[in-house]
Amino acid sequence: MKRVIRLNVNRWLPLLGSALLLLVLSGCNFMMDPKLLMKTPELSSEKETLRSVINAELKGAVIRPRDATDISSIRVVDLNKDGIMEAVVFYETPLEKVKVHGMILENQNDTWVPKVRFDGEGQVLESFELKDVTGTGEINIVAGFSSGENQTQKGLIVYSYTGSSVERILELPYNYFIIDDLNDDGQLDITVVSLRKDQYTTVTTYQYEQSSFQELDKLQLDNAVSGYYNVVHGNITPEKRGIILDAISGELSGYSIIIIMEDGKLIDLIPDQSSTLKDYQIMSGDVNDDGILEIGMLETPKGWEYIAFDDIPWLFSYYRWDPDKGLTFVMQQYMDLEGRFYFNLPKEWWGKVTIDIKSVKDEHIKFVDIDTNATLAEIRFFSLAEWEQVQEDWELFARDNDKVIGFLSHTDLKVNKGEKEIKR
Amino acid sequence: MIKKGIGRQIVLHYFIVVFVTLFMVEVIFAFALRTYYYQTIENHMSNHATRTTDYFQKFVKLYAERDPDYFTEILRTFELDNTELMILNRKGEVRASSTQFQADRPIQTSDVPQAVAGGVGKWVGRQSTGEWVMAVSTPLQVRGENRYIVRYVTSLEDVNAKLMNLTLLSVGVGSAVLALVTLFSIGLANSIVKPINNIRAVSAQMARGKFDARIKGNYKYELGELAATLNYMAEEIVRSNQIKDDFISSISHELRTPLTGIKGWSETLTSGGFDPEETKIGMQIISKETERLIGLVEEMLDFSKLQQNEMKLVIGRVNLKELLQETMLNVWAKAEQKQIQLKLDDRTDRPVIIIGDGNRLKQVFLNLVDNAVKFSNENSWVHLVISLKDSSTALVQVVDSGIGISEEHLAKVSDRFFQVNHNRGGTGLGLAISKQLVELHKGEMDIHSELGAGTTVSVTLPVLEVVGEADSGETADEDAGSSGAVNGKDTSSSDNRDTRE
Repeated sequence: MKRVIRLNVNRWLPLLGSALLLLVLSGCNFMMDPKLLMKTPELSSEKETLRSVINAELKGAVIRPRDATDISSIRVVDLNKDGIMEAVVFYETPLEKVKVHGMILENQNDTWVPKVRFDGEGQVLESFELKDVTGTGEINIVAGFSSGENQTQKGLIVYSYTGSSVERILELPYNYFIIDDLNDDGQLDITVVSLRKDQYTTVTTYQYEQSSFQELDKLQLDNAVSGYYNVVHGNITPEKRGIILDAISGELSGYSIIIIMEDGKLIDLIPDQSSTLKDYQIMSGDVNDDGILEIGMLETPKGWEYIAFDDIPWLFSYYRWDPDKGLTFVMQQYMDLEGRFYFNLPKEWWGKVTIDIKSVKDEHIKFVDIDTNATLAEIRFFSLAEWEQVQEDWELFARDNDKVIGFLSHTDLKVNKGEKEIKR
Repeated sequence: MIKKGIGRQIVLHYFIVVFVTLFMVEVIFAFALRTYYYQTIENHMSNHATRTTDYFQKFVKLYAERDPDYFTEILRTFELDNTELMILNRKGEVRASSTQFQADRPIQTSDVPQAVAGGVGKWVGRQSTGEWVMAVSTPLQVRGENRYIVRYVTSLEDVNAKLMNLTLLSVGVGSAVLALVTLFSIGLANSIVKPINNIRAVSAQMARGKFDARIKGNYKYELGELAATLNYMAEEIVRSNQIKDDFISSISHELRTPLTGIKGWSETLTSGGFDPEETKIGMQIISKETERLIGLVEEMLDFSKLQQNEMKLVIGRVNLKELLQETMLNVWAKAEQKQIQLKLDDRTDRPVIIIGDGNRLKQVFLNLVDNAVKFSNENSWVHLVISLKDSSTALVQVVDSGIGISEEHLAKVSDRFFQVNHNRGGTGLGLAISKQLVELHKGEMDIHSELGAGTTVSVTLPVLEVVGEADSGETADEDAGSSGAVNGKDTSSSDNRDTRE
């Protein structure tokens, strides 16, 4: 029995020794910085193949469109509806005469094969959309190009892919273009806003009919503007789609133009620019998420009429177009002009509440009842130290680098809670 | 590997304890490691996001989202190595991604709602590619509103592989430690099992009657005590056997001597032809030897009674001084033979009356004085000293100047069957019986002795408190008469008791 144990010991010792040795030797990378073990996640094999093919073809020259709505550079879609997916990508060749190109790849037997390369224009890819603008079911490539400087004329090109080649079916200069169905015929049309700086603006709508783009109508806006700070399109009324142009009329001021198409004709709904003139360039858009666009107006709170422009805590009022009544009030908000927060006034307050005259912008804003002068709510800027003391009573509104913006309600209003929720 | 038994049990216990400990440590270690790796990565991403958010927000202008370069700018600002960066809106739709592709569908993992709620969201799970990934989402405030979500995704494959390696390594180390400790435990088990086995083997020998076997080895604590106890037990067994053997041999001798005399004389007389004088001597010898035999048997009977607690006392009033005088008279002849002077030293001023069995007490003192005479040299003396220790205790000392008893024998002298020298005859029961009789009388018996200088036997007995009592002469007579009535003792025992001379 003892002999057996001793034999085992003899057999164990080298094993043990080697294990210890292993431990000592491997000690150098026993622990590693976890960050060094991070790895970019893999794409799906299809995307991975596509990317590697594109990288091999284009050597990393792929460019993203300068377009806030979609900045992805590789898009996969079945362009010519042949059941085979195509990938569209734009790339740049700064040393060549034509600096921007596009490439279409086709998915063949789980790999991607470059099919066609085509030329773009200018130096910068401004936008890049894949939409059926011809109404034929085939997807077109709608690309905007520019020479890279803001506010200059850009070039809009609509490409059509036949399966073997790419043809340009529309080429237009533009400042803004909108793909929408303004004439309500169920087929997308292209509206181009072309600006002759400080002279006039033309708005032209094109639609593809019988193998080429036809001009549906053209509207000339004679007001001289230096540009538009915002262009949106969507529902103007629940039924009608249209375009809102927010024009720059001064350094800070602007006004809004609403354009719709009625019976094939483009109409400027508010020819009187003074009725939408505002001293601050408020963006038009769907502010209350009801699917209908509103235009913003600047409103001086009651009692602040004789205060210097810069000191006024402006209220923003939003209006939408009503075919019968014209512009109608929708909602009101207080907007921090530095963009730190905004505060939608509850419905009950509209017209009844103003900002206390003793309020100071960026310090302390008090909302008071016009009739009773009772304080309904307060917005206040605290230093971090002050915030520590008051945070039990005040609700956190927003946080700045060195300031905390708190909200204190004297009614049953709550930030982001319950029915009386206020939208920030 | 190890044979069944306590050794295997100990090794098994060690193994279990170490295994459980190691297992728990391993599990905790694995969890801690995983947490450390995941947490570090998560912090790396969320810290980067938070820092960059602060930086980015300084430059966010009102309506900056309309800027065509807005998302490109965000992507560039928030970019983090080895991660996929996504900018989502509140619905989880991908507005921009560091991959150049359009996202297929909105992101719906649990990190997104957390980020929408304003916190840092974390999600670990499998991507559609089957890859383990960690996603960290942080809100990006625009105009005081969590308008966008910055979402980093990183692959955990390398991390998991590393964690797996580390876990395997730690399991390996754990196994090595376990093996080592098991080896140690075999050694430790042996240190306990060996002595136990040794003791067991020796005790087995003892059980087979080999009482000369001894447990050798210097063991500690309980094992040491066990070994010592076993050894002592064996010694005691041997010693008591020895005493018994001695007793049997001495008793046989005691029996044989008178029997030889009796047989010799009875044969001689049977052959006839002797003159009456000779016949008388022979018959006297036979009678004397028979008496001796009876005495012997009597003594043994007494002893066995005492031994079984069946000794009955005939209780009465005993005058101790008279008792001692009678005793002296009984041994006078024997003392005279050895020219030993017997003397009663009375140091009391009144009669000493004791409640007890006069015959038994006389037996005690006869034995003591007889012993004193027996072990005294010729031409010496034996003193009987009677005194009152206090008003309720009488002290009788039998002092001789005889051979004395050595210290080592002194403790055993009142044990039964013990004899310092077997050649002197007797059963070795005398002192043992005396001692027990004294104790039956609620007294004590002590022996002080010095080898070669003499022996003093002290007997203390409780005294009846005397209240001007009458003389003792009648009390001695009285005891015999009233004995049966005192406390219902068996009177038949009185038949056996009067023969001791």
